[in-house]
Amino acid sequence: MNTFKLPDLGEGLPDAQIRQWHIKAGDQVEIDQPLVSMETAKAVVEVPSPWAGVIGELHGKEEDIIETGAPLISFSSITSTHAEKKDTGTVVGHLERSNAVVPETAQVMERSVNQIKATPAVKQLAKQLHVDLTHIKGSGPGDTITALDVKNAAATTHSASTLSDLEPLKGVRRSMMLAMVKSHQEVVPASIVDDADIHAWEGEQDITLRIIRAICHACKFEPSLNAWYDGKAMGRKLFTDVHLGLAIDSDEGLFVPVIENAQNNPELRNIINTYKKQVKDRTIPTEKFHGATITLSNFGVFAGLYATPVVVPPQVAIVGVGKIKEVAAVHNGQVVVCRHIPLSLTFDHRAVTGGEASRFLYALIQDLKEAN
Amino acid sequence: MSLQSSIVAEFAITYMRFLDADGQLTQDLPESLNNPELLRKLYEYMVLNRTFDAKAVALQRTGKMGTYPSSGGQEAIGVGVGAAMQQGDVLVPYYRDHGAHLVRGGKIEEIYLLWGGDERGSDFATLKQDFPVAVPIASQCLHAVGVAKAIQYRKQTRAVVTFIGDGGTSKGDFYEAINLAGVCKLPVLFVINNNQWAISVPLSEQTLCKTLAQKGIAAGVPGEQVDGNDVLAVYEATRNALKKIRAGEGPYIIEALTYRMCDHTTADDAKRYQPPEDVETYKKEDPILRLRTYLASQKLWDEEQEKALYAQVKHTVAQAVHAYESIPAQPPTAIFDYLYATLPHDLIEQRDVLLASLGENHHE
Repeated sequence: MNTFKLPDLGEGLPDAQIRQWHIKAGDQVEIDQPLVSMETAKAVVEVPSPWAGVIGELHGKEEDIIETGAPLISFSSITSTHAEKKDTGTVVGHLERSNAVVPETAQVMERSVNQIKATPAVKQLAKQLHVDLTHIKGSGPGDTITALDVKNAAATTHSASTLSDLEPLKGVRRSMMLAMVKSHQEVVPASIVDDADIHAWEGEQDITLRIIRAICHACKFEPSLNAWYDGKAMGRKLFTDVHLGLAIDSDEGLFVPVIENAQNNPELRNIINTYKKQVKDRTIPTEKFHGATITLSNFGVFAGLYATPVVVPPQVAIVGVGKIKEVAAVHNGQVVVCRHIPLSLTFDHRAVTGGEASRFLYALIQDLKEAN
Repeated sequence: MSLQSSIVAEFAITYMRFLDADGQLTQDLPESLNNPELLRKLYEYMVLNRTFDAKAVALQRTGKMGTYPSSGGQEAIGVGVGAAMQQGDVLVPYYRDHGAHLVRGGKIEEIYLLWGGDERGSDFATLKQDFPVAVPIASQCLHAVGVAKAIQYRKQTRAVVTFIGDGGTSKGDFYEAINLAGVCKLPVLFVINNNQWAISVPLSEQTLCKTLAQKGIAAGVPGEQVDGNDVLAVYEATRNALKKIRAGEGPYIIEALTYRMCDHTTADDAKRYQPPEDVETYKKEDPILRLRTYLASQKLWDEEQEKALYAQVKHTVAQAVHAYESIPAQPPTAIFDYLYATLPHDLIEQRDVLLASLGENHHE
């Protein structure tokens, strides 16, 4: 079986996404016949067949992301090739095999990266051996890090062996990773926590709907948390309508569809049920993931009282709701058993003051306390 | 009171073409083009240009070559200019004129090798004095002026030909080059491939000039505009210009007006910015199609010759691919081999370190 590996379709691209297959297993193909449309960061390109022969296996579905150098198509037989050297899936020189998105963006965070003294060859070696140069003291002239330093560091950790055979992040899980990395790079988060006492609630109530109502009330009371912030332009935009991102967990990863105009939406429960079903069936349209002005994460379904949920820019706030608990509380001088909802609020301190966050949380609690 | 002024200088830019988009003559052909052999040669090289070019893109898409700039739809410019040059002239190319290299006898595998990341591709087997491809924008114009100065100094009757894109003519290098060429009356021809796109920047956002040839006027360098999709116009304009240049009349500019019917490079996607209606319009202007129509109308070309040509060209390109893929890669130490006659001490040390590390990693 001859395997065609995804080449670098641009200039130093770590991966590309399958847009459309033009062939299927068993098809007879000619040299240079278009096999698949691949989308890169810059272009949609047609990948032609390197050989004439019969297609054996396609190594991915449409929408899948394939790393540069990873198998793309296997041929079950080949009838004609150009003079073949073994195809390594590389182009000019030695391409990095790893997905460059994570380590490179994460490195930007490390202030000390700028102070690393190492030649490009040593940096390359460190990447290959999964050695973090920020934690190495150089033994070369002027404290430069040498190849030997990197090799010693690699030998004393077991990172090199445990980091092989990685399962690549795909789809929603990959989107989550990118969103979290972006947040970590940009946002200056601060969190406050408190409880809402709900002993006054009358009858069975839809907890999620009560929380959404309370968030909308708090957004009206303190609009600076229902906002977007642009760190580059250093400007914020406050909203009067609440477009609520609702975090929904699934086996595939984290989905956050948006409920538009949550403040006066009679269909709230239906929308939430629909979203949950669509997430389960993986039929949720991608346009439903855009435009949130604030997010709710109901993380305490099984366990967990408080958290520091992550703000996803350009939003400036996220409300986390923990597991409802029964506590012994004091009411009018009497110790009584009542139910509390633990609340966690994370806000982007670049755009929101502590006072604003505190007032928001106050309004949230006040609304939740209401009998109905 | 009305102010009085008088005209002290007047300028005009002319436009030339022989074949329109339908392959019809727009004027009688001059003696130089009344030559069936030449016309067939121009046609054959344009077809070779397009075929080797499409294969280059396929090689990049299958990981066998690096980033490559196509000359799709612009074959008439490289081929027309190259065919009008003499063997002793010097080509100082940029990256979208491979047709000139081919028609001058350069090898296809040399082009593949260069864009495959191997500088040995610029060590031309026959065209020893032609320059390597310039990838930086407009720098080649200054190199061309330098070569022209050397030719003038040696009192030789040779000409230098360099190419540049429309975007490149906005650069200082270009203006400096034409200025010096004008002042020194240097034997150099500047050919502007005006394909109306500098990557994604359209000509309308590149310059307010009506033509690019007129940029020479400020430097005292005469020029003209030709239909860049009419290989006969490109050939004739080049032939006339080179004749004057070799006679010591100084530099000249030819602006070949065309359209980029391809991506800027294999790392680009022109569909994202080229208006589809423009692409449709220029499809009808195809340089290969119009010459074929003309040749057929003159009974200089038939279906049989067409089939034979495509079979021949396919074979030639396949052989070039084979030759390209059969060339063994250079050892990593080659990076030290070409800059110094005697390697300095610190580079010898680095070379040793590299050699040692190669020894360690040879356990694959």
